[in-house]
Amino acid sequence: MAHSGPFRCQCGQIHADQYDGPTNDLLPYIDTAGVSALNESEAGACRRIFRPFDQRLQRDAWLQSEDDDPQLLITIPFTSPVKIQSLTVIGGADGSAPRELRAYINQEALDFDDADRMMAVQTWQLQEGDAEGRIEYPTQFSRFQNVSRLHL
Amino acid sequence: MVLEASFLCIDNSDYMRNGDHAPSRMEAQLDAVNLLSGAKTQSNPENVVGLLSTAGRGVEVQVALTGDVGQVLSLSHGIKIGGNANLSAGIQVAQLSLKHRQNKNQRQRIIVFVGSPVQEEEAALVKLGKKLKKNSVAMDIINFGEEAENAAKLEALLNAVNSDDNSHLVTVPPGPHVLSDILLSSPIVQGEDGAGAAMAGMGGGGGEGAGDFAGLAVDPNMDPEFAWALRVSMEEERARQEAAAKAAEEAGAGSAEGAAASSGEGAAAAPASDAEMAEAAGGAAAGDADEQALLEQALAMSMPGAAAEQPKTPATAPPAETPGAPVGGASETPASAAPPPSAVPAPALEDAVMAEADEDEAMQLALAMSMSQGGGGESTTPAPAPAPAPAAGDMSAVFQDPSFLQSVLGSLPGVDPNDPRIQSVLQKQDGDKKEDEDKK
Repeated sequence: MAHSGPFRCQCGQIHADQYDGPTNDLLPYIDTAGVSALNESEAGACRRIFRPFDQRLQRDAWLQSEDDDPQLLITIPFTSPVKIQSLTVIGGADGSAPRELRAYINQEALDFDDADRMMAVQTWQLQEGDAEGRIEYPTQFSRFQNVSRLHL
Repeated sequence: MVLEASFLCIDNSDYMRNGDHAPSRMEAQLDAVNLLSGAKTQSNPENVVGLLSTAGRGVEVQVALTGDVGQVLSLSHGIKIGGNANLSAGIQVAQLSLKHRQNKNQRQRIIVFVGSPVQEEEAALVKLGKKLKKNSVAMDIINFGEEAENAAKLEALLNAVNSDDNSHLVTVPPGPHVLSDILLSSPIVQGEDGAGAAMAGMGGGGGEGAGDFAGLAVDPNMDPEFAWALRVSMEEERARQEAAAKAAEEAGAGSAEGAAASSGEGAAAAPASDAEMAEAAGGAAAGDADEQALLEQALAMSMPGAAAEQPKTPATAPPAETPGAPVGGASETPASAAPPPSAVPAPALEDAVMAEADEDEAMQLALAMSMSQGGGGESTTPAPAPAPAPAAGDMSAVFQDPSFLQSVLGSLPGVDPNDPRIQSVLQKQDGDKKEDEDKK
């Protein structure tokens, strides 16, 4: 889940990779057909936001929440259990980037009420102004050892 | 073919006793429930349907999400009328039930029947709608009963829930129509991309008679093979009628005065027997009596134009598809085991012999018509009415005169009296006529 500034939440690309670039990019393990999101403004946009490392800064496709509700819930299934080391979120400019990111692991299906009730496995407060995704948010690796489905 | 879990919310408040939707609002609702649950489970076998009632002592789930339409139907009839409908509570309970569905891949949909005044404020409804949209629950609203009063609120609710046109609002004013029929043609059953169009196609294709539509509308749900059989027979019938109509026109063009009367009669007879045929086909009872009736009608249809129309029709049968009588018989049930022996053109006349009474009348009529162009003062009735036997006998005698026949045939375009086929048929016919007289 990602909260943000006053009205808009515009989440850019999210991919999990290691510090040293594309070698540990988990993109190939993401079951892109199964990616779905709740409260997106455009159905199906969530699939386009996962990109290879070298294309992460392209601005042509993004995921945006509904106009008056800045919450997004993204479901990411993986093709095989993975270990996630870190996450990078590239958000939009001027306050439309997400502020808070919560991760839930291996839940079969989550909706907003469930997510509110449950304790997230990990929560990050995202830095403002990181339009280029240089900040990687590390995970508590021990908890992210065997992830087959991730909700953000 | 969308995989979907649908929850139906029906209104069982006191307003449902009203009879402005026949036979009562409650019955119309139950009928629609039957239709919808059938349609949903038909379009995808993994779809599930649930049912709850919004009035009575409180919102009560009658049927949990299940793929068994029979269960939904049987439990729906046990619902008692009373109390006031609580729309928002009903929707919320439905949403909760959908959330706990077994197969999380199914899309969520709530179908609400609203037949009593909505007590919630518009703002509350909009908030509820937004919450549904956020959790990707689609909604179909069926507004009947108190439509004018509820229209604004339900519109607002629909706009709040609607996301990419996945939700619909259907307003049904009171009247003689059936609620289920309106729903059948609405986007609720049709689906966004016309997934239910197959049913509409069958209904439209079989729309020869109003009665047929209702019959066929049920077919795809209950008995797809039967529906297919009906559809095939309808198409065969239509093709045959077109061929008969063309033949009638050709013959009618040949005989000058008789043309108007005959084509008029043909046109009148065509839709008449068209409807009859359709009904006969729809009845699908392959009794002998029905076959007889069909044969007579087929003969009557091919009669208009000229007396020689009849020998012409069997003569043109060998190159063409199947003659009128057997197709008439075959269109009863496509799987009918034994087509009448009239599968061969010449025996078509023997079949005609079986229907001798009508054949004589028809022939007499045709003769009279073709003779009337020569100024004969025969007064004829447009319909092949039963004629007194001696008159029929006289006509048959005249008809047997080969020279007379030749002249009549010669006056027809496209018929070569010297055509060996026609000759042979004529001779056979003469023989049959004599047989006829002997039998009498």
